[in-house]
Amino acid sequence: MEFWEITVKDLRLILKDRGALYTLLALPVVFIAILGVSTGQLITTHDASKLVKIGVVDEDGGEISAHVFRDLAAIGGLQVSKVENRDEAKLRLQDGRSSVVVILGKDFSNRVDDLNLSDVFDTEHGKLSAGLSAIDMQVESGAAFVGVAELVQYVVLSAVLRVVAPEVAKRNPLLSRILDRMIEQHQADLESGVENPRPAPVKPGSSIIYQTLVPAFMVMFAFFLVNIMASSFINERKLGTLKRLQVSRVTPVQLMFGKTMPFLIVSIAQSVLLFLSGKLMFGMSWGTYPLMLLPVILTTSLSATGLGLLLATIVRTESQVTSYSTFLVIVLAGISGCYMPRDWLPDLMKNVSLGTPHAWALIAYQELLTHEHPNMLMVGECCFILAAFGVVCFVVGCVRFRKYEYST
Amino acid sequence: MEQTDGSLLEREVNVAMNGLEVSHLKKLYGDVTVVDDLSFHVEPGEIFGLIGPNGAGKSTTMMMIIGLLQPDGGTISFDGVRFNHQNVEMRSRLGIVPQELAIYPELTTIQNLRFFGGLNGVRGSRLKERVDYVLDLIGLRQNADHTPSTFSGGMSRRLNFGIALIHEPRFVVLDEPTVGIDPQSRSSLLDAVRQLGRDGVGVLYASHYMDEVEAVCHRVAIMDRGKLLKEGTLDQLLDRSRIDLCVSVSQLLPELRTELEAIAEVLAEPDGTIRILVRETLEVQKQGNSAHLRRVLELLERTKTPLLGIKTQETSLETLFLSLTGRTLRD
Repeated sequence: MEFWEITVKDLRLILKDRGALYTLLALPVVFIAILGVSTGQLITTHDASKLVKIGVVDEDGGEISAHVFRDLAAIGGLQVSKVENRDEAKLRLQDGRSSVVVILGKDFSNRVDDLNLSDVFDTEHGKLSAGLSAIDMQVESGAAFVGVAELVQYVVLSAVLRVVAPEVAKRNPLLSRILDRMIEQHQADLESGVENPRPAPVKPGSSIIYQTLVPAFMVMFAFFLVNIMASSFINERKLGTLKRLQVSRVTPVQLMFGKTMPFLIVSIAQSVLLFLSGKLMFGMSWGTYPLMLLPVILTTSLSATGLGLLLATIVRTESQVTSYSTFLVIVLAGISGCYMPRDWLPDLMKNVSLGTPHAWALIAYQELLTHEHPNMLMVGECCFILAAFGVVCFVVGCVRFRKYEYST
Repeated sequence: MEQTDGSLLEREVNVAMNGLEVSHLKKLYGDVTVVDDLSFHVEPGEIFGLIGPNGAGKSTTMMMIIGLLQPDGGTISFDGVRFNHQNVEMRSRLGIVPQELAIYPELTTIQNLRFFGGLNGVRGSRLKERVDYVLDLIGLRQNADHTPSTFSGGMSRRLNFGIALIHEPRFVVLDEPTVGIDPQSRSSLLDAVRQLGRDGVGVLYASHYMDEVEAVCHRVAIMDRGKLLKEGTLDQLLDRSRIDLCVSVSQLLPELRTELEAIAEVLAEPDGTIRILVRETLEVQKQGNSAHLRRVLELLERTKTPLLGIKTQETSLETLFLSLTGRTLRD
């Protein structure tokens, strides 16, 4: 158990090194928080500033137009408010109080009454083929939405159709009976306790970004310890304490093991801290099977510390540590898709990225955090590859250490 | 108890000898032979000095003795058993004091001692006893809970020395243990080295400070360019029955130089002066029969050569060292 003495000693040294602690534990949390703030996902989570502001001018004043207003207001992400008249609406568009203005003209109810079933179900050829103007509606977008004006019109048309279609359908006696029967059936299902579809484990809305952000930067920062690990070896060599360790009772493998363990512990602590921060600060979900995150955390840390150990046996100076580890951290994170969602990567890059441990960790996290029923076989495969990467690096590191530190 | 094949091989006992036995040791770096057929022996309780100029092969020799370098030839044995770095028990009989301060500046004195003690299998009450003993020996009891980052050079050197002793080694390798420390710390450290000898610990002491080597070592080996030039006790190495008489002049006529070289050593100094070294035994000196000196002075007087000075110089380890290894600067 002599290796444990080295582990305890190194843990003590890491705890005394505030710079290292900051880099390994605080920096990732701060970094993710900053990203959260800059993408408007943190602090402004419940802020109205990120809602699309829609002003509705209801010149019609009928029941259907009121229904349309209520339906628009019920859509998440929209802030719908009534506006007195068209002049006021124009002013609001100009000064930014409204991003989009919807005008329900005086003739709106009459035009809806004139719609037939074919107009509702065949919008390409019926009256609605002329767009919203066919039912005396207008949609105007402000500067922020001018590029997507058509999309906005399409969204508003969809919302209107949700209200109008049942109204038009009810005018047909046969369809009216079918609709009534369907409503009764839904009511009966609710009363008999038929299970509704389970909610997705991932909360829709603001915290979803952290499902991608937290694991991506967690993986990137896990590999930051490569630098500190290699520096720890350089320090032992520089101080001359490595000689003392080598002449003591510990074998080369025990020595490597003892030097690796503290960083493995720190890496696991770092990952757990980031997941906790993600949960507490940003409301991220840990997926359907939170415990399955543990093997991914463990094997990711294993691969990072294995790589750190291998690097430690290659570098001889502090400047080599800095250049090699910076290259490893930045390039591997870039290739693997830590800076952007992996889905955005082209196929070629996706395949290339599989050569990095980061990519396997990201795949496993993505599977566990964003799928209601994650593919456990895939998660297991990722964990196996991560562990194998770590073990191979550790073995090669041990062989190199033995070869170059004991017998040259 | 049965012995494994490995341990039988290790017990290649050439002589049932205690202590360290270095026999025909050889090390090559490419085509360069840095240690060449080096042999010496250090008894338990003996303090053995190893001196030589830079590049003599001392550090390489020590690295081979502690098992961090593989020799290209020859053997190293401890207590008659061939040294094998894989052998944990054998390693734990060794203590090393590297030239650099091999201590953790962030850990306190006691944490440093405990760490290296634990690393060498010393635990529990024995570790406590050893820590107490070493703290007293190196005079750092008052600073047990202080970190070396607050220490003077001497205190750090003493801790560097104490760490090597925490696991009660049978043999200690000291590489320049007193570099850059004050006379008090140096004196205390040399006392501790002497104490090691009295406790039966074998010590290999490498240093450039000849006075230290003379003060603590029982035997000394002088090596240069990988070879052993001279080895023996100080009395054997230094002929204390002789004395050098040194006459300095500014210049010499060529014909006079030839005459002088027949009876004395004529050396050109870097400052341009000439040193005429006359060796006489103390007996001759006491009897006033300094024939060689008288002859040198007569020759100088005859040629009206002005004298710059005359002084006596006892043979010391330093003069012996310089006469064996030369005065040329080494890198």
